[in-house]
Amino acid sequence: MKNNSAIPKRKKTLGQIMNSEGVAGYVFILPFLIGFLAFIILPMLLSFGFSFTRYNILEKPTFIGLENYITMLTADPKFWKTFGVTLYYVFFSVPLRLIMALIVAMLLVKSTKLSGFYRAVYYLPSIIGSSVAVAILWKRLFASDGVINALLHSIGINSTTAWLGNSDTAIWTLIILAIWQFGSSMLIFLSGLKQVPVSLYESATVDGANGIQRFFKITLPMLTPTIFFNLINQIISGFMAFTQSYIITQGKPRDTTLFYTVYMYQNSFTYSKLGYGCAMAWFMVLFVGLITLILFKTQNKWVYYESERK
Amino acid sequence: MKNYKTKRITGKVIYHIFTFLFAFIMIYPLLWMVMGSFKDTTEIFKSAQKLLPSSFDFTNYKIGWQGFAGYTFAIFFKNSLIIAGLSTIGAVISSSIVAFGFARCNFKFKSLWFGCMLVAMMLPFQVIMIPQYILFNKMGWVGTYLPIIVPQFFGQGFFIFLNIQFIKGIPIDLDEAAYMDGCSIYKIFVQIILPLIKPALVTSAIFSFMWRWDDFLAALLYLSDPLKYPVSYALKMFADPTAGSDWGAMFAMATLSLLPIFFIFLTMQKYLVEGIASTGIKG
Amino acid sequence: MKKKLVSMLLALTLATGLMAGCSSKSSTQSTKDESATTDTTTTDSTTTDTAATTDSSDKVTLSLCWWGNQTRNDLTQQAVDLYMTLNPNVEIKTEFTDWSGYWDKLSAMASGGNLPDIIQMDYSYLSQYQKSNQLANLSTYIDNGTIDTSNIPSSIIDSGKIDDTCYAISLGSNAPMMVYDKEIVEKAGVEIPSQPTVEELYDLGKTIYEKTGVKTLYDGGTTTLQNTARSMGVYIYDDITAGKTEAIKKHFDYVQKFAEADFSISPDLLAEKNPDVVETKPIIDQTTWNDFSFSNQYISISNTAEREYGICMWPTTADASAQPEYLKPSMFFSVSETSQNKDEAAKFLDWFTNSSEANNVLMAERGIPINTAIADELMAKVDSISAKVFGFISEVTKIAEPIDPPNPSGAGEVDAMLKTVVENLRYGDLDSEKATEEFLTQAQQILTEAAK
Repeated sequence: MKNNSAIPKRKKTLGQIMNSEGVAGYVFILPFLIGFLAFIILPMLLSFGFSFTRYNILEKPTFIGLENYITMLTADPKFWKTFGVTLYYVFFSVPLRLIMALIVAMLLVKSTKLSGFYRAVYYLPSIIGSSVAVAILWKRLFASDGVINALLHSIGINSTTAWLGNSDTAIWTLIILAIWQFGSSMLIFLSGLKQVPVSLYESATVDGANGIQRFFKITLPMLTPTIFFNLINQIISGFMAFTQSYIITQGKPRDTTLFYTVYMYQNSFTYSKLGYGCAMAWFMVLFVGLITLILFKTQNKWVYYESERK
Repeated sequence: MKNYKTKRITGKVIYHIFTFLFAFIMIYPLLWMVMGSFKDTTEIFKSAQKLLPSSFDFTNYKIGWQGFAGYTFAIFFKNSLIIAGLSTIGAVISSSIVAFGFARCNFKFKSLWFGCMLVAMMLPFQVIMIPQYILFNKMGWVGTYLPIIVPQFFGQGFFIFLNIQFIKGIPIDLDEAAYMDGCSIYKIFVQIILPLIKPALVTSAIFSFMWRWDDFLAALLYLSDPLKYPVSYALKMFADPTAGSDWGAMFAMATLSLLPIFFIFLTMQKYLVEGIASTGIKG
Repeated sequence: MKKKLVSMLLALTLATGLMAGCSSKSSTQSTKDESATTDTTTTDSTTTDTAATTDSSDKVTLSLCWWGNQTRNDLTQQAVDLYMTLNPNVEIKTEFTDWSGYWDKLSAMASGGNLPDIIQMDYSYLSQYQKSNQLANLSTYIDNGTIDTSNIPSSIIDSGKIDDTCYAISLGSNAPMMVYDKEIVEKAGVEIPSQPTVEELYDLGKTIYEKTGVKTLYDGGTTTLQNTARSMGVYIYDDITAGKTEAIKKHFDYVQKFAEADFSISPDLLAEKNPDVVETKPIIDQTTWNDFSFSNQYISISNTAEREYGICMWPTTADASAQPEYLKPSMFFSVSETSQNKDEAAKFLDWFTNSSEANNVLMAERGIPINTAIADELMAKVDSISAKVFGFISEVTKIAEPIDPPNPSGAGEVDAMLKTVVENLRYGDLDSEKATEEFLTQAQQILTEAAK
């Protein structure tokens, strides 16, 4: 990690205050330590404990060993169904969102008088996040008598598809929503693009490289760290997605939009199976952890760090 | 030469037309919603393909503002301001303090704690949602704003990370000079570093405010008294029974709920890009 | 290192057990001796009562929560405001959500022993909450006269009883009903009988679609399943436990028959419209000409659509051996066991059910008042919409058979699962044969799991 590079420099010049610095460091990170232990570690351990119990919230938890995990993996078709739905959602929404974000970022990297305005406009869909407002809007857009069908009609396509009710299209309305809200990735790409040295492009142009070649030979490799950061972030938030499914589709139709997190929430609160919910949570942690680990392990293969070149 | 110039101008024009059109498509749904807030419900349905309302009528806003069961949206907006405001203050201050510790101090197990912070940043909220609820319940906090606001005062991973990256970009000589002048490390933080990391602070503040403003899960879990509902949650309560009957009023309130964050974003977006750019996220 | 980890985990599980144990002292006490449950709870509640009555002159704060839609929220809030004006020493905090969010929230609140004082309860959740000792014994208050039951039929009080102790008071009676759009039905030139059979409904749907192009809805949910089973003289949860498929198969046969008919609303549209929420029911915008609900919902449905509908009883079957229609004591109110002011809560319940002030505001929105005197009094006053419900209920009363016993724990999850199976059937992924098999296995699994 980058932070380590700053330390040896300090050691040489401020070595004599190491002691007080050691103390001061803890003073500064104290809020984090307390919060981490109280609001993250403790709940995580609790949740781990609960995952081995039958706990219906109303009564005391009873220890049942691995039963929750066994039921989950072998006897709950809905578990695998929702897991599949979430995987499908992540698999399509994350790359498409990143591509969208990159395209727009490339468009906006050019600095003009209107840059600020464009940036704001393109970011706009993202500021409404996964709020209820967007749920209301999405329901209306994709209703059988909604905007999408009306617009299709006005260009001559007669469609009465109930996009949110059709089990093939419903999940795609949520994926489209995810793509539409590409703002934060776009901003990160934008700052990444601005850091690509102009000299690289200039020399490439001199060498006679065209736009497409420049993109694949310079922009993309130089951006890989940014892509990596975005990818990790988006994958995690993709698996965490909750509100979209919870308020726009409620998992309908036929559970084709029932996200893993919503099913977990239902188990915990609607069906009062807290222990089971916790087991589901841990399965997800392990799975997302594994994916993140794989990505980190493989990053040497494709992520290009400038510092390594030096 | 002249040829080159016209070519450049046409290029520019094409660029702007394209960017503008694409932007228009992107925000079309939003525009449609905002315009819908001025239409009456039948018009929303009958002419869904039309963007502009036949006339700008504020009736929907008047009706929507009444809220439900005697609770007006004035209450919900006030609550959202309190929640988002206090959370943001807490998150920004605590995160900058923690970030300074990580960026400028050397202490035992630092990399361990830094790793923990990264994990915390990436941990899905749902995993700790249930036990957190149980804990807050034991503490008697459920039904108050405390479970929503207090955790924000212990640093937020993403903002800590952002601030660390920013602080590392500030030349260490500044600290050293101040140290030679007899400044304590705490003074260095308050008097030297803090003023310099303004873009990072503003960026954190914007993100924090937007996220807290939109957040709906926490309110769903912890609040049950309508007097305490924030806009995000009240809108759901308002939308559910109104769905299908009064889309106009719903659009009006949805539009209003977006106004504050929209305004903040518009005025602060310059800092936002600067803040993110400075993190040098590219590694 | 590993050893440490194991011991830490052990300590943790212990700690969680302890923590959860102290969450509801009264519940641990009473579970100690199952046979004496009723005794313990009675003494428990009386001791807390005396504590509460001593300071009843001071300001008392009660919390009240319910699920409902806009009409109910507004009316209930008005009634509560009225009560507070009449009883200045009582302050009532209200909380309300929609049906699905309600139970999520309630179970969460119950976990920490901070249930509201007065809880709107449903027949399907009553046993679950009673079983875990969340509900106060109301028989005490009926016996000591705080809740006056002199004008309430004993059958209604019995419906809130479990093992001879009353835990919930119903606020009104309901009956399953089918609503239909009079305008469309007239246009099609058909007549809806006061209780059609499913077979008749099929023919009606066909004619109406041919004449008007309006589609038909056939409900596939738990109420219909129960209804079909009742028409065969069977209690559905007994069948599930025993693994009997006859009634279940018949239900899915009907669902399939309707699903295959071109006059039925398409599953896509049905999913989008969501008939579970009054305001988005497909009958409101005339996508369908009929819908299914309980009689108290009639007021909300016609309020939302701003027009009157026709109502008839939930369809029976052509070869029915028993009358499936029943009166459902609905919208129970319970007092939580953790309440600090059970006495005041009981007083409020008495006022809510027995006073004409309250019922004049509430206007039978939760069902026909259980107090017969009040019901008669209201009958004279109500508008045509409520009058229709009153008339309907008195029709049903003549033929109604007793209601099924309260649903077992896990019924909520079975209900959700049934919805998915029915959706799959409608989309043609399953036939009734497979649906029966799938439903039965899963339902058995859920119920055994929930009974543990």
